[in-house]
Amino acid sequence: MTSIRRRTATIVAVSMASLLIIGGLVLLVVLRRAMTIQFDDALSARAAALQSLTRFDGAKVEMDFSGEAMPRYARRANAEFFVAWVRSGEGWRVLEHSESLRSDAWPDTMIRDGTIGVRDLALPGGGGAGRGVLIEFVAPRDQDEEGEPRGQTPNGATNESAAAGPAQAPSVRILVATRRGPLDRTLALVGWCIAGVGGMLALASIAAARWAVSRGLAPLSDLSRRVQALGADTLGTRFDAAALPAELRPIADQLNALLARLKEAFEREKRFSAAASHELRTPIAELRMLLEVAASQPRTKEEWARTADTALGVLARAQSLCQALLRLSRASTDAPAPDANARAEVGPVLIEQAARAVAMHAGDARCMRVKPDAGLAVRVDRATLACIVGNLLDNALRHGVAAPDAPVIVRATGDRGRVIIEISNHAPDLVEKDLARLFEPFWRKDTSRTDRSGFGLGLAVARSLSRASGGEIRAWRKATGALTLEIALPAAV
Amino acid sequence: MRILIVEDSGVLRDSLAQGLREAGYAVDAVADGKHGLIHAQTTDYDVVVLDWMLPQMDGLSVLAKMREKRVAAAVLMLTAKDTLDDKVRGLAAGADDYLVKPFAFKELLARVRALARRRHGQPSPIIRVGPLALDTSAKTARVARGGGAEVVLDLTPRQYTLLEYLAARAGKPASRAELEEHLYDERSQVFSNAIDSAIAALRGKLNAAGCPPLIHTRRRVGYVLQEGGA
Repeated sequence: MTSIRRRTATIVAVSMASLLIIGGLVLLVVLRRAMTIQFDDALSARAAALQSLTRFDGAKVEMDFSGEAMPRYARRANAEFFVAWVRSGEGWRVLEHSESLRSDAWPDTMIRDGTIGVRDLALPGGGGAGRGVLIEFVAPRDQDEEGEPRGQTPNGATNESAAAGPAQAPSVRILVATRRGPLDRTLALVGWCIAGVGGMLALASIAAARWAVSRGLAPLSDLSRRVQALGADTLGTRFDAAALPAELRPIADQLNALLARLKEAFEREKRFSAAASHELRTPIAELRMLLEVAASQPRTKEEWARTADTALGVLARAQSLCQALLRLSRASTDAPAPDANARAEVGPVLIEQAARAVAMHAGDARCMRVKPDAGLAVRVDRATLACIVGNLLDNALRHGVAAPDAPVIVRATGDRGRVIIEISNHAPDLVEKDLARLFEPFWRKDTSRTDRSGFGLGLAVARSLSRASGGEIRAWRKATGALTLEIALPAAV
Repeated sequence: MRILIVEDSGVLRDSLAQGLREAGYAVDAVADGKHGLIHAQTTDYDVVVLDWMLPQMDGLSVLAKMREKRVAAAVLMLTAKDTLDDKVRGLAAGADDYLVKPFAFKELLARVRALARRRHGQPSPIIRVGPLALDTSAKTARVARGGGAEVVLDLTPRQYTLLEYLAARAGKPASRAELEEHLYDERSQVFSNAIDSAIAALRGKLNAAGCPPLIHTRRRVGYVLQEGGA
């Protein structure tokens, strides 16, 4: 897809140019028509003038030119001309013609063709293109039968034939023709004017379209520039949707929401890598210091044995940290798609994991009370379920306050195609804002590293595994202040 | 010289304490920020080695409180945080130096020495009082004799530390209690005449090396190291 700016500008320019062309053509046609009609009217008027000079005196038809100045019909090349014919038997006999018409160039074809009205014709004697009007009428009698007073004819010649009796008045045809040149030149001029003005308007409209589109799209360009300027360190940028045009507001809102999510994810990743780096550096720093100090002085065999023991302890912890990190990485990236045929009985897994966790952390079985509903099964394989539950139970015993009189309570119930496992324990130190970070890798309420058995990865692993199995874990506080972790997993059918 | 280590990793804390003690320092070590602050406020340490991430109270807060309470000890921050921002934050909070984990023990030792020296207004690692010259980096003491010859004193780490402490304040008397505080840590069993006997041993060795008497007793005050009479 090319740029919106170019597309829109092209569409607008093409539309405007098309409208201009169509408008220009219509204007040209109308003007040509009007000018031709005017030209033809003038021609017809001349023919009518010649007709008014034609009289029939009962014996012959005459045209009385006395007193008429007719310079337009004077003899000159390609000048206007007229011819008048009078019917004579089957044919036509030339009655009069203008001096401009040479006698060798009778336009007899005109008379033989005999089409009445205006037409284009070739001027005789190689005179070029012309236009002529042919009229036919019955020559009026000198003494008009409609009672037209005779005195009204200014040139009252040949009235001696008034009494010539009721002889039939003959038909007369008059052809008046002139060069088309002036008309064609005017028409061409009009055509060129329209084309020129239209062309300039078209160019102006392209420029106007580009300008208007650029101006209209300026907020979009501005937005795009600001989006391009975004980077990992400017994720705090927010677009002011209110200052943008209505069309861009939803985009800005979405961008803002996306930026907020990105920023949060970025911060989480930063915290994760900072924490991971800290955790990984600690055993290295410990080993280095231990060995450097040990090697700085001569030591006895027993001292070296103690140093080796300590070093092995540090290594064991580093190893379990690496394993925990690998577990987390696999749970969040390599997790297989939920297996539809997987099945694990919830009750036995809970009881087994509770016993393991108690043996490891509390030692007193009364610190944990497990009350699963009978017959519950989830669509998760047993090892995954054990890992999820095990991590949550370890967390409850390690970081909560578990005692025989305030035990960790584990429940499991069925709920519309899901199995809900609830683990509640007292966690008086935990405040509301801690809940959001509870599942973050390496997060611990205290930055304490004195409890050498926990890395703060258990809950993160459990959540990644639950999600990979089509479930979810959430944490909330009960009214009693107890922290409750709720795992929802799809029930097995 | 007395040093406080505040570090939550047991292995690191023990190794550091051992290494610094073997280098002749009196060392106290605690595991969390609260105890670290209490120690720093109640004892006049020369250097505090302070971890950043600590339980109960993080290193930065401990440092801020220490400076607020006008604890003068030099502070060397230890941390796994290695970004420039972190360093700037640490130094801005009043740390005198900054070391990123993992680090070499020798480097830590060199920095601790430099901090201790600066704390006592000694820009040079060599302290000279009369014919006596102490190299605070190599922890050795020499006595110059006529003709450009030198005798290196054979001192125990504690005797050297005592001599350095007195030499660093040449001309200013130090009480027995002050000397005890800087020479012995909480683990040491200090007998009532420990300082007196250490001074006697030191005088003996200086005398044997042909050094005129430098350490003088100030009645009811303590001891002073200076050239010439009391």
